Amino acid sequence: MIKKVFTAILLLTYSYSQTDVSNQLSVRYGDSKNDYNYNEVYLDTKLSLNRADYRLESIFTFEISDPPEIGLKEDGLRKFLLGFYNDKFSFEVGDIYQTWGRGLLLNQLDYQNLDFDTGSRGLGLTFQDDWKTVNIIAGDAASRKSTTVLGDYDPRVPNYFVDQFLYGADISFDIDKSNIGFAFLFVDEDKRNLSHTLTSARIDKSYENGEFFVSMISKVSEKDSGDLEIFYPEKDGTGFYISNTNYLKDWALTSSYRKFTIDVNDPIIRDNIVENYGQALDIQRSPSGFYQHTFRLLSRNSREVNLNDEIGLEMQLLGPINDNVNISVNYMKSSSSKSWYNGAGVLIGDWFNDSNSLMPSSSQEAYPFEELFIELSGYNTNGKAFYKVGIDFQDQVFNVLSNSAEVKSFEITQSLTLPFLVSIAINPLWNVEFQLELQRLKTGFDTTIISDVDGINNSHSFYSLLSEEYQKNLFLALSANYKQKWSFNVSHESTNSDESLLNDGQDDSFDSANQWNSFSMAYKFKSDHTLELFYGSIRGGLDCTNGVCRYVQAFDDGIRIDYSRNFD
Amino acid sequence: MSESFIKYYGLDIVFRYLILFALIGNLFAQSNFPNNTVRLINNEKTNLHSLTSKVSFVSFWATWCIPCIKEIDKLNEFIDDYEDVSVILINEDKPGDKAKVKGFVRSRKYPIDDNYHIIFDSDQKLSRQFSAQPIPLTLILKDNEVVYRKRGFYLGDEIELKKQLDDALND
Repeated sequence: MIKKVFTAILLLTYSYSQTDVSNQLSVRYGDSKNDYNYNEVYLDTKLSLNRADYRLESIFTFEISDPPEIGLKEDGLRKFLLGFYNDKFSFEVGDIYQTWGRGLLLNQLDYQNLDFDTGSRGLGLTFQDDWKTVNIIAGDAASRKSTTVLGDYDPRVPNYFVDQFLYGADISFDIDKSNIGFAFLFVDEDKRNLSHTLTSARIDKSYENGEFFVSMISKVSEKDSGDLEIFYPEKDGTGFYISNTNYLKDWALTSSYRKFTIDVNDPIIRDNIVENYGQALDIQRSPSGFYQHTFRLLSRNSREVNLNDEIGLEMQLLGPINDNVNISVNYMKSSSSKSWYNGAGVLIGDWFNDSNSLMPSSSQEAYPFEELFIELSGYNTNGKAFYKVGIDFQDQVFNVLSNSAEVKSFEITQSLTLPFLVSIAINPLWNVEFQLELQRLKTGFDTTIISDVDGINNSHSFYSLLSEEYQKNLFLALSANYKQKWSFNVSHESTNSDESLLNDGQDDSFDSANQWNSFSMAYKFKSDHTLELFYGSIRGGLDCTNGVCRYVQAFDDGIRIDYSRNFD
Repeated sequence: MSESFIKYYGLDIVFRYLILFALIGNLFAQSNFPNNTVRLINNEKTNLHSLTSKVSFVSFWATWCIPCIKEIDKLNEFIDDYEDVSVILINEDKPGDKAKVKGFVRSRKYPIDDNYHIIFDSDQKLSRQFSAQPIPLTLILKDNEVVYRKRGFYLGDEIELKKQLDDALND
């Protein structure tokens, strides 16, 4: 026994004398009146052995959750990564996350707050020298989603699962300050007898007064009918993206254009992620076209890029107005690549289309989206107060219900949002922050019954999906921070019009409340060791992280406890 | 990895020991800054250790993260007083937003030079290595070893950051 203890101590001492250890612990608990309950424990453990000419590293993520805040329950190891790294070579086994170029072909992500994980379990290899980089990947990816297309929809628990085996390679060359890359990826899905082949090329160039990037992709999806006498056509899709940034003194103008036609479908099946086997894969992300808003109401109003069918333009102008104030002007416009209509006397299920030009269309039958967001940010003259103030306009058609000679009906959303935030360091002990957001939003069906060719006797109507024609939303938050240790926060959100009409009786996750209040306090034991207590309600809605969005249900009148600690 | 797979190969036992190993490891915990190959904002490839100096300031940030921007603004006000400290800002915006990040950095006049670097963490490798989410996560390194780690930022926190830099320089 003594011998074993001695050996263990010797081994441990030897190991730790050469090993780098880091742990991050996170414990979360929530309990609400509407059964939004969860308890989760996460432990991220990093062990690495550093040598002069190589490094061995392991990262293990353990999760015990029953139920988790979002996703499926876990009990044990959630992810791991074992890696060997030296100057030129890396070899990884475990949960691999790679991004090739700017992600049009492969951008593997793990957003735990959205239960969105597109990592693959398998192998990852990288070889690089001064002028080239080769990435190779092979492994199983398992993504999951909540969709209303299938039964048992629950916004917190996925009901649609996709298992894929993917393998491929990416090679890129550095020439001066340019990077030129080529990639191919094969993705097999046994369950649906599917195989996808993706190829891409890209050029990324930096120069003194800006940068230029262009990327093209081709995707071919083939479905084998197996023993059934069904013919599944091959689905061919393409994507094109180009962006350019130019600097003029301290000002920067970024403009981008995209045309994605990976899987173009009519309005009836357009959003069916289960049946459309040619759709873009979850491991693909559009390089841009999504603005990551920092404000609550704006984030909830975000729009994801549609890789399957979208033409888009985006412009961003950034610059200083003076030494203390910066301005950001963002304009986005997009539409589908085709305009959709159902002919007179034709059954509503028969849809026809006209291809749009190279530019996004403003016609309602082409799913147009337009957003203008202007933001000022800066400090007061003594640098003690930081502020951000903005204005945002959005106009979108997100569903074409009918576009015939007799009836035109579109599901639309229009909004105007005014966000404001100020953060003030009152003295070395106290810091306060105040946030105010106002929003006017309209969403519903815009319908025109056509009676005559002159349009004089046409009847136009708007049916709101909210209990008022215009929803007026208000978000207020006040927080105070004391000595970098204590933090107190109160928030209030209200609306004049609840969303219960969105509920068709099938799903009780839609929020029918009109106001949500909360109070929370946090204590920082150390710089990365915090305990936070929360009481109150949080409004449900869209939650977006870097272009990935998911509907999150409301948290109604409950408590939350969050504890996180780093053991470095 | 399915539960049955883990149990079949007896990996559950291995994982339990790993947890134990990790927890005991806390007694000895230290964290070195890895020498990953990274890409700078001007597209050049380099190694992290070629960017660090005796004392280095590292921050994980993104253009949409308000506390991150405040922290960098305050850092830029005082970093000229710390000539021997190198700054590494690790960007966590999505890879597709590289163009926007470059424009943002330019318009904010971030003082990029031989001692002030912005790098992209496109595949989130550094973020995973340091459990960097939620950002900002700030590290102060001495001889490539993490000697201070801080999450979040409020105006006024720069006083503590300066103190930590002074301590690292004077130790």
